[in-house]
Formats: sequence, C-alpha cells, structure tokens
Amino acid sequence: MSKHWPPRRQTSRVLETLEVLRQNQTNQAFRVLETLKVLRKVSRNALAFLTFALVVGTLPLWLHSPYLLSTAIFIGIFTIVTLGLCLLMGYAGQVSLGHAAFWGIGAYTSAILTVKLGVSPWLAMIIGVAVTSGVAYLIAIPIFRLREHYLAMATLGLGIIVTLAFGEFRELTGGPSGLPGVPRLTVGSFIFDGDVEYYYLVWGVVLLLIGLSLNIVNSRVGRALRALHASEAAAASIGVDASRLKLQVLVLSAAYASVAGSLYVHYMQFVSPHAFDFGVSVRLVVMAAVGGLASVWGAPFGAAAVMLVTVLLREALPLVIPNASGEHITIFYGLVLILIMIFMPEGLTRGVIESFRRNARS
Amino acid sequence: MLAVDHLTQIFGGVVALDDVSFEVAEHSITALVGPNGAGKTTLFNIVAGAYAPTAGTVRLAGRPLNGLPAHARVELGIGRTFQNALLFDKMTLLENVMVGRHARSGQGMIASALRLPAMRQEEERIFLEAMRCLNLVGLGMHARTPAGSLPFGQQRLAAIARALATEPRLLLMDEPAAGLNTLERQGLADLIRTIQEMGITVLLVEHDMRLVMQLAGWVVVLDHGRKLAEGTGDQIRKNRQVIAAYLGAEAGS
Amino acid sequence: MPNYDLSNYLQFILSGLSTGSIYVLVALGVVTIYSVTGIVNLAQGEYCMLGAMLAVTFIRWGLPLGLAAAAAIIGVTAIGVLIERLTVQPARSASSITLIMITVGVSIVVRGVALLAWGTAPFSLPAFTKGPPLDVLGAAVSLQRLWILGTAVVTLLLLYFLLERTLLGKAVRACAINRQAAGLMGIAASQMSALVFALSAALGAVGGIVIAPLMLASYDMGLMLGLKGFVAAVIGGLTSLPGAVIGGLLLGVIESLGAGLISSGFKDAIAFLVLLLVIFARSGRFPNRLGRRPARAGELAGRGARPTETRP
Repeated sequence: MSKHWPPRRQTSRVLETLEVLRQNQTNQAFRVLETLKVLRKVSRNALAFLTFALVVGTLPLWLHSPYLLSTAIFIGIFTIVTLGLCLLMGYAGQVSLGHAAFWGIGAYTSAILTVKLGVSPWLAMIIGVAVTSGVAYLIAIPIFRLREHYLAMATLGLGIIVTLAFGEFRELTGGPSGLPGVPRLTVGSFIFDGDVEYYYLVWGVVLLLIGLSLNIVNSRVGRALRALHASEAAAASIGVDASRLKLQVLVLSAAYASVAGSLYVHYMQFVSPHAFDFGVSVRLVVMAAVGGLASVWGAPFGAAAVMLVTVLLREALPLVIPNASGEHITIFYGLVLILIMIFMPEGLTRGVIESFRRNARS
Repeated sequence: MLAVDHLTQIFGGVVALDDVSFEVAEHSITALVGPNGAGKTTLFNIVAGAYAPTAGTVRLAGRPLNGLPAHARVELGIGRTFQNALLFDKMTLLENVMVGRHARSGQGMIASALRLPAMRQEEERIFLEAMRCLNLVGLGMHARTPAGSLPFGQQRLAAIARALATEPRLLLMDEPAAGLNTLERQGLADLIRTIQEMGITVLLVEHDMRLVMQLAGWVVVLDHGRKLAEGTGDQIRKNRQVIAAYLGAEAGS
Repeated sequence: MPNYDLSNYLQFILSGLSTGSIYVLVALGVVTIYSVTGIVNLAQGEYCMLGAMLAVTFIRWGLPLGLAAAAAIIGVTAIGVLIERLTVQPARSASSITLIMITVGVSIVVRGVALLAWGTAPFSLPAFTKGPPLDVLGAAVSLQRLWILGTAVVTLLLLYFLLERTLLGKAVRACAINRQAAGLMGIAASQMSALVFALSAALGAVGGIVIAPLMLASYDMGLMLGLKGFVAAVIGGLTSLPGAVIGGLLLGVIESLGAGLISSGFKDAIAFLVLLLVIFARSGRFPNRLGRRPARAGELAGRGARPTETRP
C-alpha cells in the first residue's frame, strides 16, 4: 500500500481527483490480491466440504455395528432439521421453541399421502415441502412482529398445538397411536430398504443442503442476515427488508425440516405425534446450541454430539449406576442444556474456536 | 430535495416536534442545529422512516414518504448514519459496506444457494463498489478488519462508507463529528464536501458550530421541538433568538 | 352439542374457577419473577409438582396433613432458592432467550429427578375434608374445589399483605418498577432475585398441594400446569398481579367451558390457542417494565451505548 494513507488534506480539486484516481489504481491491485485471497478462502471451504463428504461417505465401510449405523441415519435426519434451525436462530436471530412441528408436518404429510392415498413417496415429499413452507409463510408475518421472548412463547404455543392436532384428528393421522405402514422410498426398481442405502440417501441430502446453506451464508442474502442479527435498526437504514428476509429464512428452515420429516417416516415406516412434541423441539434447540447457532457446520456437529452422548449414556451409564435408565439420560440432557446456556450460549463449536483464538492471541 | 411539512411528533405526553416545516435544497449541505433535546434526532428518525409522525408529511423530491418503511426509503435514495456508528461488529469493514449494496442488488436466496452465474457476477460488482466506497473514506486497507475492533473515528468513517454504498440522493448524518479530534474533523469536512460534489444532498445534525459554519449553505435551528429560525450561517449567527436559546448551552465544542 | 341446562353451565364455571385458581397461583409466581428479574420461568409448574410429591411423601412418613403441607412448602421454597443460586445467578447478564432455555433445562432436570425419586405411577393425596360434594344450584361442587378456592383467596390476601404492608414487600415492588433506581436505594438486586424465586416456589407448592387430591400427583404434572399458568400470566399482561388473577380464572373457565361444550380432547390446546390469540392481539405490544424503554427507540436515539440492564 502507498504511504499516503490516510489521504491528507488537499487544497485543490485537481489534487483530489488525482487522489481518487490513484486510489482506484491501488484498488485494482488490491482487487487482484483480494481475489486471490477469496480463492484461497473458497478452496478452504471446498476442502472442508470434501473432507467431510469423504468421512461421511466412507463411514459405513468401517462402522460394523448396525445399531450405530442406524444412529448415524438419525443423526443425518436431525442434522437436516437442525440446519434450518441454525439458520433461523443463528443468522436471522429468531428463536423457535416449536420447530419440531415443521418436522412433524412434513412427516405426517408424507405418511398420510402415501398410506391413505397411495401417492408416490417422492411426490408426497414435494407436497410435504409445499405444505410446510405454506404454513411457515402464513405464520411468518404475524409472528415476526413479536420480540424476544414473546416470539419464543408464540413458537412454543404453535408447536404444542400442532402436536395436539396430530393426536386429535384421528381419522386423518391415526391419533396418538400413530400411523403405521408407510412404504419405503424407491427409485425405479431399487428400494431403499437396507440401512446402508438409507444412510447414503440421507447423508447425500445432508451434503446437498449443507452446500446450499454455505452458499447462502456467503452471499448477499447471508450478509444481510448477519447484519440483521447484529443490528436490525442499522440494517433497515441501509435497505435490508427485515420482514422479508426473516420470512424467507423461516420458509427455508421449514422446508428443510419437512424433507427431514419425509425421510424419517420412510425409514421408520411409522409416524406418531410423540416424536414431534415440545421435548423434541427442545432437543433440536440443544443440538443447534451445542453445534453453534450461527454456523452451518454447527448443525451436523451439534446433532452428532447430542445423539452420540445420548447413545453413550444409554450404553455406559448402566455400567456405572446399576439401575440407570432413561431418566438419568433426561437429567443429564437438561444439565447439558443449562450448562451450555450459562457458559457458552453461542454454541460449543464457536465457544471452542473462540477459546483457541483467545489463547493464540495471548 | 427534501420537504418537511408541519411535522409533529408526540411521544406519550412529550411533544418532541411541534409543527416543524422546512426545505432542504438539492445538492446543498444543510445543517440542523439546536440544543440537546430539540428534536433533531427525532426528525431524522421520521425522515428515515423509523416511525411515523403524529402529524405532518415528509416529501422527497416531491414524492410523499408517508407510510413507507425505512428500507423502502433507502431504495428511494435516503441514506443515514447514526450517532454511534452502529456497525455490524463481528463482520469485516468490507462486509459491512457490502451490505450497504443490498438495496441496489437483487439476487435472492435460490440464486445464491445455487451460485448461479448472475449471482456470481453481482457479487463481483458488489465487492468492487464496496471497495470504492471504503477507499473514498480512506479505509481501504482495513477492509478485512472486523468492524468492532476499529477505533471510534474510523468506525464513523466506515459507517459513512456504508451509507454511501446505498447510492443515496439525500444523506442524513447524525452528529458525524462528535468524538472526533481536530484532525479527524478536518478530514470529515473534506469528506462531506466530496460527498456534496458527488451530487448527494447532505442534511446534517451537528453541535460543532465551526464545522457547521464551514460546511453548511443553509442552517435550520430547532429548539424544544419548534423551528426557531433558518437561514445562511451568517444570518443564524447573528439571530438574537438563536443566541438566546444557546446561552447556557455549548455553542461549539 | 348436547343440551345443557343452567346447572351444567354452573358446573363448568365452578370447576373452571377452581382449576383457574391453580393457574392463578402459578401465574402469580411467573409474574413475580418476571417483573423483578425479567426472566420467563418456564419451570414454574415444577414447583407445583414438587409441592404435591413432597407432601405425599411426608404423609407417607406419618406426618399429619397440615404439617406435611407446611414442610413441603418450606422444602420447595428452599429448592427454588437453590435453583436460583445455581442456574440464574451465573447467567444473570444473558439474553432473555438464553434464560428461557435455562429454565427449560431446569424443568427437564427437575422432572427427571422426580421420575427417579418417585417413578411414573401417580400418587393420590387424600382430600382435605372428607364428605360428599356440595349442591350449589344443582351443580355438584366437591369439597376439595372449595378448599382450592379458599386457599387461593387466603394466599392472595397473604401476598397482598406481604407486598403492600411489609418493607420487604415494598422492596420487591420497587425492584419490579425500576431495578436500577431500587439498586440506588440500597436494595440488593441479587437478594431480590432469590426472594422472588422463593416466593414463586412457595406459591407453586401451595397450588400443587391443594390440587393433588383432585388431579393425582405424578412426576409430569408440572409441565402443563406451568405452561398454562404462564398463559394466564400473559393474558394478564405478564407484569400485573391482579392481571394474573383475572387471567388464571378466565383461562380456567374458558378451558372448562370449551372442554365441556366442544371437545375434551382439545382441552390442552385451548390454553395455547388463547395464548396465541392474546399475543397476536397485542402484537407483542406488552407493557414493558417501567424504566426500560424498547430497544429500538434506544438504539435510534443513539446517545452512546445504553447500559444493558444486567440481571440481579
């Protein structure tokens, strides 16, 4: 850079113009440098993505426990929902204590259409996305007028009502005992029957959605979202339409959750209201919080962390405490939530990264 | 460029603005002055669209703005800076200014998710424009610095760059000189003149009367929500009512 | 809808009033904590559950009803303070969402511990006075419901006395109106925080004990009670004690009428539909705690950074 930064006071207009021209030239050199840096950053992101894809892709090859493979499928499904939630809570800054409802709507739409109307599962999935997005679209405008905990309360209330509705409309949803007999997904004559095929299906979708989400975050829309999160007043003052953006993110997160719901029912071949209640919504928030709210990569890590810890506890705890069971896990779960909210509300991954950065600087 | 007509704003029981009317000529630098609590920032907020006035209208180049939300006014050409910069702390300076281009660009979520060619081209344009604005205020070399880590004076400049990125026709500057030292104020004066030369109309709220006299072609004085006087810098300086209103308050910093 | 006559409606209303009284007790706790600390305590219902369960346990250990109830109330109050010290104090400067999530975490932990301690089977508490239901204009009102109404009234009177006539109560009210000013007057915010948690815990415990004979006490009875009590508080405006009373009674009656007239399956949903109605009708424009202006205006005025209110 030149040694004339910052520009000194000029006394003549000509000099000023020359200054601006010179700045433009420097600008061009800077631009080349910046493009190179951006390329490096893009390739860093791409590298991370490829590594992740590689790990995910080869997992079934060395994971020999069918139980763990099944867990991995669930982690994938949770990741998809959590991804949308991370974008909603971390970037758009809107809390949602009822997100499992979107997941449930997608799941039930797929189940009802395939079981009761014999619709093709893929078409049912698309219709599910449409329905869930439609619901999100409808509630977005009134709900985003609310601030802070009122928003949280409204999402809580909506989530519970949806869960209750799943249980109440028996003829449609099978009531509290659920709807069995959901068919498998098929492509041509290939049936996604075994766990390995389903694993690749689910994680394929996960990778796709992670890629899309990363693109969004590193774009004009993503910057606007981050700006919105930082200061809504300042963002509005430079032309960011807050309501429209929040609506878009809500619809997007609902769409993600819906896809996850469809994948879920075609794996379980069964759906019931209990899988989408308030407790599940809380678990989703915990996954998002653990992974890091404003982080796309936080979703898979948060989902994996929470699920693995749950599995670990389920296996290991009975060895330590003789009669341990589900209650202990629940307690541990609540304790984790409390501790994270107290000490690392920005999320585990971000918290860890920040502590590394702090240590590196000192 | 801007016409404020019988603007009144009442908060609860407090009358913040009382039937204020004035005009801001195109391409001018107009200053809005007055003791603390005179209603200047309230007026800014109304013009920028943060809230609707209790009564009165605001017109930009003849077009009434009533009911338009803040972000829509940016598209029409109103830009503003805040007293305390309000930068997006955790984003870099460059990203801050790039957000300023939001209203002048249009690629949406789907195009971004798929990284369509149109989107990539637009990103490039946004990048260049943002750099240009940063260079204009002299902060080009800090482009990659997180906004929150910069000293106050530079944050101010960055906020100006961000507002400039929205390609405003009218720029509202809320006490841009507050907290700046003498050298920085000189730089700011130059910058504001450059902005005027770019064809942008400037309306600024300022307490630094020396700066106001230096820059402003027209001065509007508010006191307790009412317009006390308006005129050229010289006229205002000699106006007895204005002097009386300022007695006991700082006449400059 | 079946043909109901006056005595049926009366039945619904009376039972609605008594259930509503429980909501009132929970709502009072929610409002007290919110006004003084700004925290939305979603774990409020667990105090009801703990009160009921502890009372049952003490009775099993041989204590007479009155003593068991008193011991349970004291125990739950202590637990409330403990929770406040352990989970709220460390996070006092966090955002309200974080604090809500912490209270959710607390409710999960408390429920889990209760499940461990008492198992899933529900316990029954004997009715306070044995006897057949009273006949009020054709409606059968069980004696326990009268107990509930009576307890609620007595509790309200005690609360009123505490807040209006004692110095401590006035300190609490001062804190609710303007925490910073109260602090300047020497009222320690953190002590106030512990106090309101203790108060709310006691209120919740009373509610749980008095409804247990009707409802059967089990480890998960607190969840819905807490949420519905919260809805009642919201109806009343979240910062007003009389509002909490009206909200609780109103909610109880609406719920009872709705369940009787429309469908009993949707009983729980009614409370949340009401919640949404109230929230949206007010469009989030709830009375803020005085002394704390809405963030937006503060930002725009921009006179330096407004000091963020820290929790006590």
